[in-house]
Amino acid sequence: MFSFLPALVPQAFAQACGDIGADSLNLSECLTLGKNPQLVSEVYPSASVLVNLIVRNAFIVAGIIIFFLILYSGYQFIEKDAKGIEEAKSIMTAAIAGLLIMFVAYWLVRIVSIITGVPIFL
Amino acid sequence: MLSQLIAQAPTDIIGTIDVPAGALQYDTQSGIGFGLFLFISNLIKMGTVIAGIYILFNFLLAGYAYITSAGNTKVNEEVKNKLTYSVVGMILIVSSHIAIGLLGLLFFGKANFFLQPEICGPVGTVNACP
Repeated sequence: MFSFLPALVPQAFAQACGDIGADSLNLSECLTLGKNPQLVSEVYPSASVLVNLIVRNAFIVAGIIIFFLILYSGYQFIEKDAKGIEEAKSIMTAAIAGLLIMFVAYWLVRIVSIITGVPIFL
Repeated sequence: MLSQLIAQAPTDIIGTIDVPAGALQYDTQSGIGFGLFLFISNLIKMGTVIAGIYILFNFLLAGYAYITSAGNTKVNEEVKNKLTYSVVGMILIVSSHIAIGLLGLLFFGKANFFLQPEICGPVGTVNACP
């Protein structure tokens, strides 16, 4: 089934995979990442590694977006008088409420897990 | 294959998900391992401080208006309104803690029913209600 693999994987790691013709094949122990090869299974032992990466960086991205939103609302404040103030207010409340929801999201899932008794994060 | 999946614990499939950095700080500080209530009380504290500063400036502006009014009755009326609203608002903000405590005591027999909430799960789980 994976007869094309030996062509993709460096020779040294093709052996670590086990038999190509075997019943089951763990691709994460065949494929490597980067120039100095590291097995995929070493860098990403489980799916949660990827989730943790995304969650950690999502906060930074959100913070930068909120910074620019507040900057933009300041410009609205300067440019248009009464209408701009309304617009700036709505933009700022949305931005801050968004950050609040992001920050509380982990605890909301924890609450669901406590109430239902399902060990989501174990 | 499906029976294998069911037999496995969630950790075996997905792994453990870390607590986000800010939430972890609150979790450790709260002492109960759940930082949401500490976070909310911080929000309330900050809100109270902001309200206090707002009231201070209300008083200042009212006094300034009173000084520059030169006996104008309309301005005097406005100043009076502003001051009463500020004082009533301050009293409401401070007494809201007492009010929710009283309500908890009246309806649930515990003054800290709302102020120190307990979240609990079904019987047999770690977080089951005592």
